[in-house]
Amino acid sequence: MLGRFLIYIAFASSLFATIGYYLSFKGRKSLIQKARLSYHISAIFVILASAFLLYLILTHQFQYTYVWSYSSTDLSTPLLISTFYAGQEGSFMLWTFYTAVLGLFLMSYSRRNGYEAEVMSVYSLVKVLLLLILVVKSPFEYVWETWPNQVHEGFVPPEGRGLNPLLQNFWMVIHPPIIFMGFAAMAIPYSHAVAALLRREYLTWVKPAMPWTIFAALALGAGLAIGGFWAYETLGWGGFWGWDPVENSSLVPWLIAVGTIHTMYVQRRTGAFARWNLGMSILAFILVLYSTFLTRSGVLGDTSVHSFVDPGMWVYLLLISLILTFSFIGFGLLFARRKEIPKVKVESDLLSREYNLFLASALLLIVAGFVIVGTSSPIITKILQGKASAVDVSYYNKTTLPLGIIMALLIGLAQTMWWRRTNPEALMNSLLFPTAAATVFTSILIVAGVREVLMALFVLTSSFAFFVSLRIAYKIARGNPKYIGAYLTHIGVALFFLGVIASTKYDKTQVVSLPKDQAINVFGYKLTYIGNQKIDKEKVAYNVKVEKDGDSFIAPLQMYFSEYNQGVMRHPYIFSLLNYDIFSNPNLLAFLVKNTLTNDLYLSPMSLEKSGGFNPHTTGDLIILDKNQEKVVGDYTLKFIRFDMSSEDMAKMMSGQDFAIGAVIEVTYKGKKQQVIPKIFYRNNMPVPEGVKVGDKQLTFVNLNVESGQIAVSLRSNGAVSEFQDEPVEVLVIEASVKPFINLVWFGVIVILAGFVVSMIRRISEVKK
Amino acid sequence: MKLKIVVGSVLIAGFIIFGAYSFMESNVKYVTIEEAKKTTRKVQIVGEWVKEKESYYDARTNQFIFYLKDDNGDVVKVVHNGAKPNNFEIASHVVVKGRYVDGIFESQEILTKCPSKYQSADALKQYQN
Repeated sequence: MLGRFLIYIAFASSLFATIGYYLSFKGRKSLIQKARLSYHISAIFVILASAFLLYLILTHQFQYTYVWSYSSTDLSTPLLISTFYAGQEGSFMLWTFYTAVLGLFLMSYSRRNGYEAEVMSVYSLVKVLLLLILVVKSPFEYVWETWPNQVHEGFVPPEGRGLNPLLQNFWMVIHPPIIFMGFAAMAIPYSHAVAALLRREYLTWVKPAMPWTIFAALALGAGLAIGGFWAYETLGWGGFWGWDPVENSSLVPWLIAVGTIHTMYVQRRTGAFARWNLGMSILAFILVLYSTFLTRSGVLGDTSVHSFVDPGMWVYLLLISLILTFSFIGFGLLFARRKEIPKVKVESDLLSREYNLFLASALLLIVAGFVIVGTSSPIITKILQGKASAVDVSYYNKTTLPLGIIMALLIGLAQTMWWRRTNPEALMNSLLFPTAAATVFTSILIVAGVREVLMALFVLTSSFAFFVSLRIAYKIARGNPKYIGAYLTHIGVALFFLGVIASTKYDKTQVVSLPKDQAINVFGYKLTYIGNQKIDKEKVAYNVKVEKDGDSFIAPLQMYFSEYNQGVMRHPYIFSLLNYDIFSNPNLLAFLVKNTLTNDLYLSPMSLEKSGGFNPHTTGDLIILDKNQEKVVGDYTLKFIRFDMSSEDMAKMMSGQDFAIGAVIEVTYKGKKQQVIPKIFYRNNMPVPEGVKVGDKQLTFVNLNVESGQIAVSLRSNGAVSEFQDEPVEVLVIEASVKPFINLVWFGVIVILAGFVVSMIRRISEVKK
Repeated sequence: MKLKIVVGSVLIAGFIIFGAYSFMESNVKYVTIEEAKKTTRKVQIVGEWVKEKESYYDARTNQFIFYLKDDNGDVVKVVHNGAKPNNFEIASHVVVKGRYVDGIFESQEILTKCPSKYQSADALKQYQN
């Protein structure tokens, strides 16, 4: 009850704050004190509610559905804390928490800058609606409220369902807190834009809004980067980006925010693009809401690998009304005031910095447009074709590649442009070195093997962007390093592009079968599968010895059946500079620096097989045996008596673990009668039959149909098998790949984010002046 | 100024056409097995795994082979490039994406649709007796 109570108070007081702020903007100045107080109360209650949820999780109060659904007593404390935002209710709670806390900073910030009532009335409304979601979809629901007919009141489950093993990871502990910080912060540029429209103060608002926009883009960008690293490192996607709806939904608002930053910069300088900036700032937040709707409402349910939980009608409607409310306020006001927004004449010279910055902003908007259309494809196709289907990943690659090429070119050009008008001669001079360097660099890569035209072009424009940015950054670093932010970010973008090209277009992958204790050479490494062991109650590590130049390391590839996901989980092991085993194994670092600086070695487990055992291509003709009916096959008479399965195996089968099933078969050969029990072992859900010897042949139990009481067996001469191998040998099948220059991707991202930090600090100091 | 507007609108129209074309091109339609046999396009089929027929993973080629039955009752042999997907056994139905080539559906991606775990209290019941 307490949790719900805290949410209700927070909701009521934030509603009060919104109304108070709005009325005080409308002229009842005395209300501002009360509004401020209400906001503080609501923020305190949001913080208390969050603390209470955390307390419930840490003390394992499984009578709460949310706690029961995502945690269990065997989780470590950091993982336990991360279950706070493992589900929908908790992630809305986290979002609301950030909104509440950031609001406290925004309050004093806007008070200093003299527009508190306007900005806080809008911002506080965001919090009201987030709290409304928490009222409807409460993390404080009891299990007997969730399932009223199935669970009796007061029941406390002794154990929780536990956390999805995919989320049991350091990166997953820090990823959502950063992403949601970005989501929450995106409401601040929105509130600034709406406040500007309310105040009819269209020109000066970008100055105080700019640091917040950069902050929101920084947080969201950092979240995207960590999400990408998590996908690479844990999910075994083989890459850092899968154009998945969940990823796209953070990328799109990020692109818009970054686009806005470019034109805000122009507006600060010249006053131009006021309407564009208002629209973009509003759009960025609307897209945060729209993305939330896409990934949280269940509309994508049937078209993605992600499991999207259907949260129910109420949340669905609430999310839609959230989008409509804030679109109506933002775009409605913009439309109503469109005529009075001053139009500062834009410098329309093609060779001006402002024009090129506008192009950059528009280009980012177009990229975002393509991505959001693709992500919405299930909705679009549902309307057009009546049946929802998602676009293929190739759609994103196809559409973003040409835009990426143009973007890189623009990055290079725009940074050399002057304000108002660039002297063409001076432009030529400053472009000489970067163009030459990029041409040389690209030529080398073409000789080295970059043959596709678009890829070569992308390399050319990216390296051009890199050299331009590097040259300017070098000059600035010697002068006033405070101004280096933008150039640093663009160096990062160029490096990131080059890393993306190298690692995704020129990676090499090979499926390799590793028979136990037998070394196989792959990509210059010697790999040996040396056996497996359980590492906890579920997880199994398949150890592969990796050798090169006298160094040797063990790579534990994980593959196991997850109770939680009811499926086989596979975790890759990566030899890369970001491998955290360097802390426990000091020799590893030197090895990694020597071998993986330019090429990551990525090993993913595929399956465990037995050679010499079952292979449907070589088992010969199958013999179908009906229960208790004799069948004569050559010199043999076979009779299937019954299935043989221990109760222990039965239980294992029911719970999806490895198990074995046997068939009792009576074999008559040369007048001698005997009973044999060939078995099928199910390992990771893969049937592995083991034959038994009868006479001079091998009898293998291959398949079964329990309902009809039929089995399929094969009988073949023993010699054929023993010729090949006497004992079946375990074979670990893995996918090995090398990812060239993937470190450039990570390094590029870090440089981008560092640039954001520098820019943000500069813009903050400008506001203070 | 006029020229700029013309250039701008041509560019925007170009992007929209390019986007719409890519969208149509990459939109992988849901079809029946019968329809899949008639086209060379990449399509997706929803169906059930035919458990009675053979299904195995071939380590040499890294392919997972099984039979799929669609709602009309047609059955097709599916050769999937990759390991057996997660949740395959308990999936209520599976979706395969790929192309039909020479009597075989060559799948590049498999989605498994599982009965929702979130809406049932079954997992809770074990503690209640």
